[in-house]
Amino acid sequence: MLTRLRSSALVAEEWKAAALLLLPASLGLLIFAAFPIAQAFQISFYDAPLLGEQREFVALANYRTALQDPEFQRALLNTVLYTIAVVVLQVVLALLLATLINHAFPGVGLFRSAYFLPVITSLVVVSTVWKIMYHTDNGLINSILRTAGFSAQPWLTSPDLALFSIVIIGVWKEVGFSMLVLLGGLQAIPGDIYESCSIDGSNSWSTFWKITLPLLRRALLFVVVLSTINAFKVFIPIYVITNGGPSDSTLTLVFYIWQNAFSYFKLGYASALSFLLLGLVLILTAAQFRLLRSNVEY
Amino acid sequence: MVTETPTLTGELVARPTLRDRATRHWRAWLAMAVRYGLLTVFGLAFVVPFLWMFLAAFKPQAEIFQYVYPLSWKTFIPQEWTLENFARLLALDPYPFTRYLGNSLFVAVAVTAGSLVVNSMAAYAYARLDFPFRNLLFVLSLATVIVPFEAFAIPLYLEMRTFDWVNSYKALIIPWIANGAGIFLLRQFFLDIPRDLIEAARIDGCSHIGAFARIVLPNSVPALITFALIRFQASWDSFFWPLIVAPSPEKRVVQVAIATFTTEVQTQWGLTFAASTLATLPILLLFLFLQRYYVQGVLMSGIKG
Repeated sequence: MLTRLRSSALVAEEWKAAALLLLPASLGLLIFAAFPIAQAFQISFYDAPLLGEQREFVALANYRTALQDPEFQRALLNTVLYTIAVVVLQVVLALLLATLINHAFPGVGLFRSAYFLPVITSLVVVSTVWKIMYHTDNGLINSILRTAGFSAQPWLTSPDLALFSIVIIGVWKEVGFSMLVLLGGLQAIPGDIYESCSIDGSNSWSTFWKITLPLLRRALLFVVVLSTINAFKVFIPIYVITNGGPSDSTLTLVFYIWQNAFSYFKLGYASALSFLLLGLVLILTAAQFRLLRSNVEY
Repeated sequence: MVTETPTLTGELVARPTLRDRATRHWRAWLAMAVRYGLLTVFGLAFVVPFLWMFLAAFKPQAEIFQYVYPLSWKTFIPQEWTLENFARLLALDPYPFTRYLGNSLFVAVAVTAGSLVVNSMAAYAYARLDFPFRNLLFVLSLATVIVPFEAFAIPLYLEMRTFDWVNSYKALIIPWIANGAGIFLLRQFFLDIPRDLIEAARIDGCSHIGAFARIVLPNSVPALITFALIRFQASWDSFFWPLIVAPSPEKRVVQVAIATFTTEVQTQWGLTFAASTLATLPILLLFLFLQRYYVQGVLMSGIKG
């Protein structure tokens, strides 16, 4: 009887402590995340201007407009192309760098830090510096090309090239992060696996494909999912460098959402676009989990 | 660090002849040369833009593009060293650039401090306490991580207008304190602290909150530093939200200030380089000293997560 009384007092104390500890964080998430998310969903069914309080319920009209909006389609296409290019280039390059650096040799720390410099620099600064480096007449990139005997390229002024120029920035900025994660994955693979491979006589190329890559699955999944989500939300380089141009060739989803909300003041439409973005991100993430998780489990 | 390479262990199989050994030796040298060559090329690609930026900050306006082509040491090293760009940053109208640096620093420190307290409290409750709806609440707080911020920035902005927080530090700080990803990360760390340690403190008469403050927190300093670094950098680098909610010069943060230089019609490259240098150096120094904590955080989230 006594123990039951004591234990129920203990339980009450534990609940009280939990409530106290959870209160600030839960309140914050409720007010500054959950509530606005619900609100975004609601606004997306309204015609809501930024200023002025009158809102008109338009049901699915915003979503219908989006599906027929050629600019939205262009933004979606650009975003998908950008994401695929960034993720593929970044993962391949990060894998190469991680493999090269996964040995003890003099200067290894120096190289690792060098690759990591862009990761800790803000994307605004990175975009600013690259904007100047890409300048057709006065930029460092064209100077290097011309000194090496190639012709100067219109990196940011050609509609065919501009999106690719932004891709390069995206890869350059984040490849060090992916490299670090993959390096962690490589170092978690036990060395005796490689020993038995070399006894079996397989060469290093096939060892890489048959042993290293499958064992890296988890780190790869993390890198691919994270870089996809990040690439899909690309905004800062577009805002700082191209403003979506030339002729909409670098118009991306988040930039188009931002334009609709804060340049055209169409909040309802911008919210509907935001929910399409959220849906796409969720579908992409789920698909990648399925794709990369399906096979061998180790 | 893995020091063994697959080729080294090949010696276990067959006793190599002298010629085999010579070939292997030569091959190892070649592999090393290729490795260093590739690493250096990539290393330059990452370092050169920074060097260019830092050094251009010390060039007079007229010299910035003067020696870009043809490529030579003059492209990088200033012919005439000057502090004029920094001096002009201090004389900016309506506020000197230090105001924007100060705004960013204040916001980042407040966000970091608040995040540490609030999220570690929640993380401890999820890691070690038992209460109704624990899993449901935990999953709900994690769900906020999946939704991209850009998807609910507009209603959050409207909320700030209702609170009358637009163009205030409150709007830059308070929404960023509770952090679902942080709760998750810290909970992972706290789960590693042995239960016995907490039980012992409880038997000695500690309350749950006492055990958290006296046992769990002091035993998680590296984790807390990692988390603090991540939050500080995120706040220092944030752009989308400050651009929307605090565009007034008085509350402008450093990233918005730099973007304003860059997108203005009359672009002042000298100023931009000097401003970028000032905005990058503090973070660079911070990471130089605390690098291992950050690396540990990255690996944790990648491998254990």
